[in-house]
Amino acid sequence: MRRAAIASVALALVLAWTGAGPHAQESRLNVVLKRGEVIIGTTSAAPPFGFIDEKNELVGFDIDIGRLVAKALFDDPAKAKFMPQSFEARWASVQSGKVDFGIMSTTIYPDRLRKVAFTRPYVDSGIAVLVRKDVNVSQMLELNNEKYTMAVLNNPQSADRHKRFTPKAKALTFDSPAQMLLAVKTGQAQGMQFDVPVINWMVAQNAGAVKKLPELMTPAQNNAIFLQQGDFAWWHFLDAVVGEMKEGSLYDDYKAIYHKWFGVDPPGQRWYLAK
Amino acid sequence: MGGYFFDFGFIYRNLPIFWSGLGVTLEVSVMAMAGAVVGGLVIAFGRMSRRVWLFAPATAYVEFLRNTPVLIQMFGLYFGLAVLGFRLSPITAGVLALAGQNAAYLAEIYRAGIESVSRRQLEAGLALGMRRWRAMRLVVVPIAASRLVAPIGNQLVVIIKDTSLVSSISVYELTMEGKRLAERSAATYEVFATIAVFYLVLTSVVSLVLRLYERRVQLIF
Amino acid sequence: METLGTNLPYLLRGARVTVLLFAASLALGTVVGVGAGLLSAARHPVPRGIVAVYVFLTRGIPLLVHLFLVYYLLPVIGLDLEPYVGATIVLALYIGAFISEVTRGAIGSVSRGQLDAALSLGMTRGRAMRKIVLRQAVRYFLPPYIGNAVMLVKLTSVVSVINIWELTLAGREVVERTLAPFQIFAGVALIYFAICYGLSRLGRAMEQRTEFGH
Repeated sequence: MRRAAIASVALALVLAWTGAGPHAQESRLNVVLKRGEVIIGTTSAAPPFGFIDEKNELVGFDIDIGRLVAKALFDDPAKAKFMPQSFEARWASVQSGKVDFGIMSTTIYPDRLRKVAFTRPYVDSGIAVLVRKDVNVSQMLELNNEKYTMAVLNNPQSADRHKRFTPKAKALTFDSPAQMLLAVKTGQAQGMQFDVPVINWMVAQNAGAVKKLPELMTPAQNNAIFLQQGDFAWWHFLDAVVGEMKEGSLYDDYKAIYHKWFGVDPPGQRWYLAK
Repeated sequence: MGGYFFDFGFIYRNLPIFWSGLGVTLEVSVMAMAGAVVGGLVIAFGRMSRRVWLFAPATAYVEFLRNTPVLIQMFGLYFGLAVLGFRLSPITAGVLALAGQNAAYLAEIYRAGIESVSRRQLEAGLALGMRRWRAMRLVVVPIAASRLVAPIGNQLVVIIKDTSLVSSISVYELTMEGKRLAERSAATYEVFATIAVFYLVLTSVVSLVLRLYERRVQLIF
Repeated sequence: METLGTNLPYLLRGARVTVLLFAASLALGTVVGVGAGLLSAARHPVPRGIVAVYVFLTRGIPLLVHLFLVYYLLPVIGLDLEPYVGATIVLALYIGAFISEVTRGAIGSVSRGQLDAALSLGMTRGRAMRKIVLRQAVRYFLPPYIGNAVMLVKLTSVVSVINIWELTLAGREVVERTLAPFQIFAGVALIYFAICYGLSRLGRAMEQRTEFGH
């Protein structure tokens, strides 16, 4: 009887403790500022946003933007710790607080807004299609043929686009664009669909082997930083920083990063200002 | 997110997806097991041979496959052969990798089983006037076989569990379908808990059938 | 061959992580497994039952699914584990179930006569177990234990599927960048072979030292 009582009290304490876990009262902004370092979830498999270069270091557009956020927080771009993660794990890691925010070639879609919060977009995107040069197609819809195999990413949007545009083609589902490109380059798939900037980079790096098809599968879309829902102060900070990058005091830094990875200038700060 | 309840309704509505994945899992498991059983016999023959040109490659094969992860073998077969011009489908590459890996283990199991049969049984057969081959076939092998039911069946369970790895080369088996479904919804842990239950039931059924069969085939010598 | 050469240092860094992951999970897993195995030799049905349930659940589900469950389930109940720590714990618990069975088998292999003889000499059950049965059980324990240790080295490759960096993931990264899957995966396989073969050699040496001429 006594043992049961002690066990029940212990159990209740454990439940109360774990229940208190995710409901942090303090804004992540304060947590990060106190910590002195920001932990950023990113990818190592989607060049040029995040990838491993020949020196085996993690680099990319998203990495540099992440450092810009660290600079905004601490006046020191080095105070950022990057945690490469899989595309599947990205929501769970911000929801659980494992990372402070995520920046990894992530497009805003309504079903994702139900799970996490997004800042305003930091770069334009949209979905383009890349095919092997030895595949004799010049238009996206020609790929809708059962002799072709397309590599898609493991997310609902990718799968739905495949069903909508190329249902007759076979689909290989992978966890990252790097894996998808490997499938295309080894000939296991004839084409793949992914974000425009990534496709552009892959075509530039592999000009002899692959080419990009002219049409986009989607209209222009928005890639943005994502974070845990419900934390207004943190969201506001990140969102305002992105705003400053695109239209304000951080534009010069943003322009340099943009030029470094995309070879061209970003859109101007205001439509009515000369660049 | 899952919260503190289990969304059974979601699982129920998506059962067809789980069944489909389970079907592919079974397909891959059976084909891989068949390949491993047959391949294992071939390798075991080489391993028990007194001729070096049979013994050496068989031994090299067994040592190499038992000391390398099956995941690497899968990637090697799927991507590696593709650049050399042999484009295997995901299922083919997965089945070959699983069959190849487990053939090495089964070969050793066969060998251990045959060698565990007391030499006296073989001599008894020879004393009855049988030639070595006949004695092996009619005396040693049946006794060995009865002792092998358990380890061989165990390899089937191993294969069933290893089929989860073919999800990384885009085979649409149980784990892959689970990943895809989890991506599509917020019910990630319900989906994976269900996947876990499916595997548990599958391996339990196989183990149970195995134990029943073992009891029937029990030969006490 | 050249591609493999230039990337070998990166792959070896991955191999180092693999070995660390293996060592940590083997250490923890051995403690858990031997403990569970000893419990399963208890006379009281409750500890035996708990171990049986643990072994059943762990061995009946693929390691990858265990990893996914922990990866997705933990954030829901509010626990935040560093990826390597989480992976080590899952690997340890997984191999623990196998080691538990090895322990149970080793204890069972020591003929019951030994235990009875010790008890008839007036030893308490605990003492009899420790001084007589377990000492002899070690001889039956080592070979399958080494086999499971080698299996654990290979199992570490599975954590690459949930994006935890070790040798297999390092290999995939290099292949994705250099497009030399045959060379690189062959190189990775050889590194695993070296680790596993070395481990089994070490194991066989240990076995020979605990052999006692019977």
